[in-house]
Amino acid sequence: MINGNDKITEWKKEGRKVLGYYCCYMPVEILTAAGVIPYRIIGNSKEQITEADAVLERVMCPWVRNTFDQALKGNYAFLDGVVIPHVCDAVQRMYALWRHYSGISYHYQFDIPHILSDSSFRFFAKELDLFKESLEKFLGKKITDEALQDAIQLHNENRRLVRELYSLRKSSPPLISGTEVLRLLKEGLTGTPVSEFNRMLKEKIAECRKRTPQESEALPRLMISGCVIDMTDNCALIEDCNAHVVMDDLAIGTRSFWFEVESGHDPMTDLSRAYLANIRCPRTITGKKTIEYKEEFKYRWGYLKDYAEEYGVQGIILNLLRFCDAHEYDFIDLKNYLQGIGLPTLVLDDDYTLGSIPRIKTRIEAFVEMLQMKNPV
Amino acid sequence: MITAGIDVGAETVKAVILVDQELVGWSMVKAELDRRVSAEKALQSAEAMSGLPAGSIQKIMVTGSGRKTIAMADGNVSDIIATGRGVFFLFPSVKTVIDIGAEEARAIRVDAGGDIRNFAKNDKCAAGVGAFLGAMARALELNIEDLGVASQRSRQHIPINATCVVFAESEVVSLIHSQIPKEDIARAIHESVAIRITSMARRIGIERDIVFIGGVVRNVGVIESLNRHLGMDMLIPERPEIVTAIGAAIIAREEME
Amino acid sequence: MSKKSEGNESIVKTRAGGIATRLIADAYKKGWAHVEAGKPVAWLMYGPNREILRCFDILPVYPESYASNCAIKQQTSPYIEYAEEEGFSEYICGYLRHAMGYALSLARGDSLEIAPFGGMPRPSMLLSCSRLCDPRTKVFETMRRYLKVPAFIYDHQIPPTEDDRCNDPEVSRHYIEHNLEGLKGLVKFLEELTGIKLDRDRLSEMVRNSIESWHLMYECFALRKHSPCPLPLEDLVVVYRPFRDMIGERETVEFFRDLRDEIAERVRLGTTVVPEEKHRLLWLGLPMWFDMDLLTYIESKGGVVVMDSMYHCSKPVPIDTSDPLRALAEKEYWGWDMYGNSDGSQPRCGLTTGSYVLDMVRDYTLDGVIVHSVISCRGCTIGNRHIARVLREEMGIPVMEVESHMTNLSAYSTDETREKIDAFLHMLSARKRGTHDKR
Repeated sequence: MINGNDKITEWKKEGRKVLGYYCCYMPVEILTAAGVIPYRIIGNSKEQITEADAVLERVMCPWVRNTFDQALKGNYAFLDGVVIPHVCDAVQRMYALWRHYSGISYHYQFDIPHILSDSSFRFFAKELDLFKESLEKFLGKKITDEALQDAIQLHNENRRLVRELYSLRKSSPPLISGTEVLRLLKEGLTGTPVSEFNRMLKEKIAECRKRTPQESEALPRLMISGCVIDMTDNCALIEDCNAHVVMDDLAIGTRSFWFEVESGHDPMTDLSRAYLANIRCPRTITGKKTIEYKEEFKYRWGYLKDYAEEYGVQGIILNLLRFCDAHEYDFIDLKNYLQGIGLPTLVLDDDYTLGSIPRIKTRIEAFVEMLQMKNPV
Repeated sequence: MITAGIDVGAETVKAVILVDQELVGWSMVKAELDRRVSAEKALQSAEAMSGLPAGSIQKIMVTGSGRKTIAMADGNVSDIIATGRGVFFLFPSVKTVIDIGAEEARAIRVDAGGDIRNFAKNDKCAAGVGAFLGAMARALELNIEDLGVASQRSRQHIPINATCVVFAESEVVSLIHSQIPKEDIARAIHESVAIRITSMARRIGIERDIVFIGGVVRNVGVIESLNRHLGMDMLIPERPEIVTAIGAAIIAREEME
Repeated sequence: MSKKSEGNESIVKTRAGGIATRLIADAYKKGWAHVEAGKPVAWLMYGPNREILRCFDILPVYPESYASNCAIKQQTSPYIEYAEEEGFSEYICGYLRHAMGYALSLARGDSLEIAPFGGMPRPSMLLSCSRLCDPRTKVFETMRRYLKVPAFIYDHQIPPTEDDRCNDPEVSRHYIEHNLEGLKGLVKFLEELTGIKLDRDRLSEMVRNSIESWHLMYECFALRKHSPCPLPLEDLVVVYRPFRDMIGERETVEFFRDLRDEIAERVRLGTTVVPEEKHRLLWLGLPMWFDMDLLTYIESKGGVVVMDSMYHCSKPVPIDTSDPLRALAEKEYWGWDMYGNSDGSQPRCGLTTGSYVLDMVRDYTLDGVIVHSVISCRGCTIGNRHIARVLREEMGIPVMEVESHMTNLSAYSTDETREKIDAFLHMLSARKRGTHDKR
C-alpha cells in the first residue's frame, strides 16, 4: 500500500477530502485554500509492475507506469480526486487512463505552457482559474481570494522552512542526511496538511540544531540530480557508500521548494508566475533565441553551479530515468556544462528500479573514492 | 481423408499425418539451412511411422516461418491460425492458448468453433522468454531444466522489479551476491516471466480452458508461476511441439471438404 | 522539402497521388533554386504556419518529413548512427535523431552527396512550437548548438480534447488568444531577422487559400465514407503532403479541387481498390513508412486500409480572415485533428480516450483496427494499448497490434507482420461468417 495511513483515515472521518496530484506544477495552494489535503502521487519502485502492462505500453516513463500500476491495484483508492496537469507527454496520458480505470470520481487536467512569455503566464493563470471553478463545483463550496492568500502564505512559509532545513546540510559534516531530508519531505507531501508539515519541519530543524557531529565524520559531498526520484532508497544507497548527499535537484526536493510566490496581482496570476518561471524541470524552456549557447547553458543550469558552491558539493550524480524525453534532450549539453564548471559527474541510467540494484553500489563507491582522492579531508 | 501438416520453425521442423481425425504419424527434425530438405525429411519420417503406403497423403499444408518456400505443399496457413486449430483439436474446451518459445511468446483466443478470436505477441523491446530464462540460468550456473526444478524448492518470494533483461540480469547478480538462495532467485525469475506473460494474455482476455504450448513448457517453474498468476491450471498437451503441425493438417482436411 | 520515393509511386491508386508526388518534387527543385539565390531557409517542426514563412520568402524545410522519406527508402543511415555516436539515446524519436545526425553532419562540413534525395539545405533558422509532443519543443534547443543559428520556439497549446473542455467557448477563446500571441511572437522574430515587415494582405490571401483547401479536404474525407473505398491510406498519405507542405498556395487549392472531383468520380463509378472489398480497416498510429508495401499486401488479401488516426480532417468552421494571424490561430484550433461527429455537431478527439477512433469505426463502417506501436515515439504510441482494449472489450471491434522502431529497420520483421495480418484477416472473415461468437 502506498499510504493507507492512519492520519488520512482520521481526516476523512472528519469529512475532509484528500486530492492526489502529479508533479511540481500543481499549485498546492489551491488545494489548501479549498480545505483539501494535497497528496502528491509517488511511485514505489519496490513493487513489481503486475497490472499496468495489460493496459499501458512499457516503453515509456517507468515512474509514470509505476504510479499507474499503483492506481490499478487500488493503492490510491482512498483519494477523493486526482489532478493530472499536462506536465509532459507521459503524465498527460494518465488523465484519460485514471479516469477510465482508477474508480475515483473526480479527475481534472489543466494545460501548462512549455515556454515562458507574458502570454504563457496569463494562459496558465486562466487555466488555474478554470481549475478552481471545477474544484468549487466538485466540493460544493467557493474558494475565496482570502483563502488563497492565506494558503500562499502558509506554503511560502513551508518552502522557507524546507530551505532552512536544507541549510543545515551546508556544514561539514551536514547536520542531517539527504535520506532523512527526503524522507521527511515525502511524508510532508503525501497527505499532510501544510500547517502540520510546517510543524514537522520546525521540529526537525530544532532537533538538528542540537546535533553535534564530529568534523572527522565528514565524507565526500554529493548532489543528486534527476527526474522524479521519489524513492529515498536511491539516496540511502548513495549515502551507504560513505558519502553525504548534501544537496539535490529533484522533483520532490529543491525543484518544489526553491521559490516564493510573490504577491502583486490576483492569487492565480501570482501562482502562475511563481510556478511557471521557477520550477527547474526541462519540460519548460525559456524560448531564448540566442545562439550563444554557452550563455544559454549558464542561464539553464547556472543554478546547479550555485547549489554546488553554496553547499560545497564535490560531485554530482545524474540519475537519468529512461524514456524521459525532456531530460534526454538536455542530457549531453548538461554533461558538457558540468564538465565546463569542473564538477565531476556520475551518470546512472535508471528504469526506476535502481534502488534495488546494489550492483550500482560499485559504481558509486568508485566515484566516491575518486572524489575522496581529489578532496582529501 | 489423409492429410499432412508441416510446421517450419526456426530451430526444428515438425510434420504430422492425420487419417481423418486420427494422428497416425509425426516427426521432428532439426532445421537445416535449406528448410525444404528438412520438411521432406520430417514428412518422410512421419510417413514411415504411420505405416501408410507411399503417395497416400492427399493434401499437405505448411505453416511457420518460411512456409511460402516449401514447394511441395499444397497450401500454407499462418501459424497463429494453425496453432489455434491444433490446440482445439486436442482440447475442444480451449478458449486461450499461451505459446512460449525461445524468441517469441503469444497468446491466442480461440472461439467455440476452433477459430481465432484474438491474438497478441510479446513486446519487441522485451527479450524472448526462452532466451531470458537461458541468460538467467547461466547467471545462476544452472541448466535450464534445473532452473525450473530449483524454483519449486523456494521458500520465499523475492520480487525482481527490473522489466528490462539487462537490468534484470543485474538484479539477479546482486541477489546472488547477497547470498539469496538459488531456489528463491529461480522462483523470482519465473515470477517475473509469469507476470509478463499474464499481462500479455490479459490484453486479449483470459478465459478457461487455457492450454500451454511451446518449448518453454518443459520448465516446471514457469508452469507453476503461470498457473498461479492466471488463477487457474493450464492444460498441457503430451506432445506440445507438434500442435501447430496438427493444426495445419486439420486445415488441409477442412479445405478438402 | 522532400520528394516522394519511386517505390511509393507504384502503390498509389489515384491520379492525384501521382500529381501530388510531382508537385512536391517540383517544390523541392524550386526550393534548391531558392537556396542558391541565397534566400533564407528555416527548418521547422510541423507547427509554425507555413503561410507566415512564405510571406517572408523563407523556404520551409521539414526534417520530420525528410526523415520519414528516408525511412520509406530505407536509407536512414548514417544520420541515425551519427546521433547515437554523439550520445543521443536510441529511444529518442527516430525522426529527430535523424535530424540531429544530419545537423551534426552539416556542422562537420560533410558533403550532401550521400544524403538521400539530395538532402536538406542548411538552415538559417530553426522554428518550432510546443505542439503535440515534448521532443518537438526540445529538439531545436539542443540542435542549434551544432548549426549555430537562432531558434525560435513559441508556446502553442493544442485544444484540450481529453474532455469536453475543448468545446466550451470560454476555454477555446482563451486557448486561441494564447496561441495567437505565439504567432505574433513568431512574426516579430521573423521581421527582426529578415528586416522585412509582414505583408498582411498577402498573408490574408494565403490564409484564404488554406481555408479553401481545408474545405475541399473535408469534402474528400466525407466522400471517403463511401464503400468501396475511393482513396485508401497509401494515397491519402501522399495527397496529404501538399496539405501540409504546400498549404496556402493557390495551386494547392486547385490540386484539392481536382482531388475532390476525382474522388467524387470514383465514388460515382464505384471504382474499387481491390476486386472485392472484404475488410475495411483503420490504422491507428503512425504509418509504417518503411513498409508501405504492407498496404499492398493487405489489399492482396481483400483488405483496404480506409482510415488512419493521424490523417483526418475536422469539419471547417467559419473563420474571418481579415485579421490573418487570428485566422491562423483559429484555424489551428478548430482544424486540429478533432474528428467531428458525422453531423459536425460537436468536435471530439480524445488523444487517449480514443473516442474519435470509435466514431471513425462507426462512420466509415470499418471492420477492424490495426494498432501501430512505435518504440521511440511516445507521442503517437502511449495510450494505444488502452484504446485497443476499449475497442476489443467494450466495443467488440477486432484489433491487431504491430510494432516497429520507427527508423531502426533491423527491429522490424516484414514476414512476421504479414503473418499477423494473415491471422487477423482470417479472424475478420470468421467473424463475418458468424462462426465467430460475437460480443
